[in-house]
Amino acid sequence: MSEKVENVKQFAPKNLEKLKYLIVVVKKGHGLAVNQLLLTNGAAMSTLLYAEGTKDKYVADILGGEESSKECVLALVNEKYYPNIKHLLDLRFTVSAASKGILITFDVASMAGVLAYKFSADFEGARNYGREN
Amino acid sequence: MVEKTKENLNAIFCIINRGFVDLVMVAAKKAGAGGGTVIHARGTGNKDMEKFYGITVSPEKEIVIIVVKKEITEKVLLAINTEAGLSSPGQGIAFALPVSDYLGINLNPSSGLKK
Repeated sequence: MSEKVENVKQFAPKNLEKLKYLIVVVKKGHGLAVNQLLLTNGAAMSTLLYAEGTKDKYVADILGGEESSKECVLALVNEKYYPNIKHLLDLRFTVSAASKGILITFDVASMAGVLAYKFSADFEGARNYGREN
Repeated sequence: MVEKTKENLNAIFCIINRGFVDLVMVAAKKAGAGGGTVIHARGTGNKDMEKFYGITVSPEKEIVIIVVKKEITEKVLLAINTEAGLSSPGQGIAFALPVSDYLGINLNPSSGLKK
């Protein structure tokens, strides 16, 4: 087992590009738009999940109030695309109260699979490789 | 205006049995946390529970994501572990990850306004 691991050629290019993992939480109905925004601005993959706020349900039932249904978008983005995405999300969150949301990001430490990494990071134009012809 | 400055934040992820989110949130809020977001999930750990009287019972879980300042992370984690840890009916597991950047988070819930 250890021999096999030792024999694996390590993929370690000098100009390794870092990845960021984004979690965007928005009100229900805005998730698809955020998903589209991320994908058209360099995100490699994006997943949309149904989520909820943590408002006390007992109090909410009595007092009513706004719906706490939310949508959560998970995305993997190359660090070089992140400033633009952050700016666009900032604009979207600021424009109106209806589209308010939060974004948190994490630095990805490592990844399994060279091809998966190359695709996710769009390493040396990997996503468009072979499309010229 | 949406928060832009970079502060030391952690995101606490708590994986808990479905229906026990309130345990986590009450404990976290007591320790100084603001709000959180809940995502529905499904556990894969206990294979004995998968089949019950010939019916597949999926261990339904919920993931609570709470963003807190680094200073109170340990306090919140301890509170969650005490109130909703593995020895409680919620059987929660909590861990924290460092947040590298963020947008739109209200760090002072009492003020009612974002910075």
